[in-house]
Amino acid sequence: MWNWLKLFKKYNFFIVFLILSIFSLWLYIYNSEIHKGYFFQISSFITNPINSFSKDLSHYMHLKKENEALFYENINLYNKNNQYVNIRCISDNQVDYLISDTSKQLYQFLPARLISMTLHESKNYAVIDKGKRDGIKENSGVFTPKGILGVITWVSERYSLVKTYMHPDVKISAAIKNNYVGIAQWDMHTPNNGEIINVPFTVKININDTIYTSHYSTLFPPGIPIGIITAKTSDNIYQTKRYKFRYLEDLISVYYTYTVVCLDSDEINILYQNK
Amino acid sequence: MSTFKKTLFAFLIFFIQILILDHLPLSWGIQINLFIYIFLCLIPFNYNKTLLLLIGFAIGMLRDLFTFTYGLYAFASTLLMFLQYYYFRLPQFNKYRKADKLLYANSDLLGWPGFLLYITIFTIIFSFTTAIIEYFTTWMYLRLLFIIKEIFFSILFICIAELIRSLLFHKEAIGRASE
Repeated sequence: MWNWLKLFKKYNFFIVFLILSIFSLWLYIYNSEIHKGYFFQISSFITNPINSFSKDLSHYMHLKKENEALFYENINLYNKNNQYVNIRCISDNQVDYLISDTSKQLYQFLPARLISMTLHESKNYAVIDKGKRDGIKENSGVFTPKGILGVITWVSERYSLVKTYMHPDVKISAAIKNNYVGIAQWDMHTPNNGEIINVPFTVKININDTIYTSHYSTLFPPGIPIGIITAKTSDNIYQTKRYKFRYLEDLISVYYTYTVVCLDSDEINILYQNK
Repeated sequence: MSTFKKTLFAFLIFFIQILILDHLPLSWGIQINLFIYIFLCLIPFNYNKTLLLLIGFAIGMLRDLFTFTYGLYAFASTLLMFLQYYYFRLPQFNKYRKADKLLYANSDLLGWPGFLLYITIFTIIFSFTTAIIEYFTTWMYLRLLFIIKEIFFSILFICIAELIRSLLFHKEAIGRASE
């Protein structure tokens, strides 16, 4: 402190000059719009890249939170959207009216995080962090915004085991533009590649067409993307066509998933058992 | 020249500056900076140097208040007082350093050639400083003619003020010389 005072005493003339100069210049710049504009233009040139970098860094740090927020927002949207999936047909004498059935919801969507997954087995499984206590049932579909991921086969209290699409038992009813085309399944040879089997000769599929889940499934609601057609092969034994496709979801990069629970699946299964 | 008369004369100069010269449409709006005469010539240069800085700042700020250029003249005036200190530290002014009384940088002390040189140097510095700060958004060469006119008229008016001062207080100067 004493040294500071000594320093000030020694250079008081220069220090006072500096203080007064800076103060008067600041006052002038602060009160002149033109100078203020130029001053901020110069200061922006220096501070903008720094601000931009810090903003990007902060944004990057908060990405996890934002992702989670979006994830839950998507779930709400799926749930709301699903209320309008079921269409009730009310017939008049001459005209049929199609009215959205909001009184009953067929599917419920639940958020889940992927915990573990196998990729290089002949039968691949994954585990998600939602179980019975969250309302998950066996034979519920699991998908991501990009496409389907698999089907739940076993449910514990807090976790569920999922057969991913790279499992030979996972067979999903596929459609193009709401028209059923066949059964989509893993080709058992290459990761992320599958095939559609039992495609009737009457059905025309083009390369690069996107295939979706069809209406004929209790696992998934219709319209969830499965993959893109890559090649056509003929199946002479069964007199049907067979198409190769690439799954849209790359299993390596999955973290957030959505689970579809068909609310009437028990009732539908009883019907199947009595056939 | 008593302190009261000096103060009165300084006030007169200042009022001429803010009431007349700052509103005079002379030579397409050039600024005549007569008021620098107050702190360059009417205030003793061998006074407390820090106090001189503050006086320069205060006078400049006072003019700023009337011209709505907050800080412009305050900065230029402070700079002049800062440089004035080093100007009188030059070897040719060594004789003034040992003086035990307050000295005023006027024509009586410096002589007319010395006074003109002193005023010219400081008017040039003042005019260019204000011009650079005020018009740094435009090219200086566009303003150069205006600045030269400004310097010329400022020196002219300061010389007139100094003439009036020396005429008004002629007796005092003679009295002091005879002492």
